[in-house]
Amino acid sequence: MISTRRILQAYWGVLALVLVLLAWWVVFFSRQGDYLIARIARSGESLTAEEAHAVRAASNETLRMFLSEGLFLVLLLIGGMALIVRSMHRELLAYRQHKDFLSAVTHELRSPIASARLYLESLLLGRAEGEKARRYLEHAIQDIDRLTEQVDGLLAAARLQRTMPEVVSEVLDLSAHVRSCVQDIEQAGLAPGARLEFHTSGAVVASADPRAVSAIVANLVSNALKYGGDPPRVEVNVASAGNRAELSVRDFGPGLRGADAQSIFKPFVRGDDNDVRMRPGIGLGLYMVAELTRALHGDLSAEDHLEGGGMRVCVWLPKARAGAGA
Amino acid sequence: MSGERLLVVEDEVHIAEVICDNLALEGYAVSTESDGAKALETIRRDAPAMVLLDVMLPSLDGFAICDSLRKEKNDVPILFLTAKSSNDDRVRGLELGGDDYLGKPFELRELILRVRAILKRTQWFRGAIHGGNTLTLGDAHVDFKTYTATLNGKTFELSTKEAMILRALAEQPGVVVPRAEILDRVWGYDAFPTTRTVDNFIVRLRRVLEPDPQNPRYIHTVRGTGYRLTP
Repeated sequence: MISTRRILQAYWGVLALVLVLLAWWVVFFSRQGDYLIARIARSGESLTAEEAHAVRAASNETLRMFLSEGLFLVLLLIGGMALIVRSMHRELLAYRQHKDFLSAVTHELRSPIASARLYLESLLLGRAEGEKARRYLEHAIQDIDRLTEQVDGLLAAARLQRTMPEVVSEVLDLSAHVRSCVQDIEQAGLAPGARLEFHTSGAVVASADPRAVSAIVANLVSNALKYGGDPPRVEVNVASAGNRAELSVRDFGPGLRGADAQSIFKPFVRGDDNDVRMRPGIGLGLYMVAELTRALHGDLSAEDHLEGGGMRVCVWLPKARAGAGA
Repeated sequence: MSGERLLVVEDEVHIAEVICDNLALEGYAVSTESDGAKALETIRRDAPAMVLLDVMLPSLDGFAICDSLRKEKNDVPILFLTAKSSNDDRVRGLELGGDDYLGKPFELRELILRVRAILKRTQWFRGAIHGGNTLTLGDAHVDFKTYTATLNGKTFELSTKEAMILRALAEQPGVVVPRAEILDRVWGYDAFPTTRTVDNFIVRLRRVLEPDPQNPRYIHTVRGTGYRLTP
């Protein structure tokens, strides 16, 4: 990749050259009138005061013309430079995201492959027998399942980028459904010390696809558990917010750590922080949440700088209309 | 049974389990850590014979752990085991002071061979140190225990690799040691560095030990082959 610094250095060089030329023109033309008058005087001819004034005026006119053209050129160069810098910044950002994505995907795919391979190779070499051999096979299968899940996630993200997901909204008791999702996550097992809490202000009925809501909760909670402190603490809340139902997931980790609150919903975007990059994940969870929310005609946002620290993602879904059948 | 204590730093539970089981079968006493910061504490406290270190870890990554240890002059052998296996990552890991780098997925047998090779190299070098060896080259004195060289009252710190190269040459004074043999003894059988890397280390050693590095009196180049040390 061409060095950004070199391109900018070249641009600064051109700009400096133009400024030097401009300065030279100013000096040259400011003296041109007097120079012409002196030259005419040397040739033995004399000018009247009006004629000398006219010569100086013509010279000044030329100076103004060159100055305005020169300044226009400088402005053009500065504008061009600003455009190039912005374009390169975007390119670099895209390049870095692509690199981060490849790095994250590589890690996420290689780890289960490495694990399954080691288990199977151990069995092949006769290094595990009986119950241990059975456990190795089970673990190898779990690794392959995890690999399948990762590949499915990537394919789903690719599909999401092409088309909006198909959702079938229905009248949904959002409080009860989210409570059930949270219980499922708890039953699947949390890391030692992790806390997952559910709060609701009562029955909140939304118009939403239960499968999409399940996926939204799973991704938000998974993300919050991953970055929600050590050990993580996560709060899931369902409440009524005017004519919308609000689902929020809050963690108590370090927050966005300088990341842009909007960009985190873009695909393959991960935080700038080294700790984020060193954790598993490929930057698809929040993107899928955003796409599913849009498909449900909802809205979402992320905020940090909360009292007590952490980050909160809020998803607002349309409430079911009164009288809509369940 | 060798019984040496190894530490596996790996946050993937399955990988940690299968590696530990297999190394235990080889006779090593293996323990694990899944968190980077805790692993660094454990290494400092327990001084294992070797660390098998993942790079992507919670709280502190493997590169940072290796960097911290080397800055503390902790020369515990480190084998990076990681999915980050691009050339840039390998170079970074080895430049930070890692002894070897194995990209995931890898073969179990290869892992075991590499662990053995690294421990063998370490034992060879430490064996020499425990023998109380020092090296005198004219006015220059090398202390393999402290990794220091003293010349004209000035003390220079040597890296582990520099000390190992010097040791490999000093073991056979007056004999030409091929670059490939130096690579094998110091880095391992298929290590990333090229023979040019040895040349670079020799240049640095000459700057420290030779009165006139341009006209070396002690570390001689044998063109196309390797180096000869004449004390």
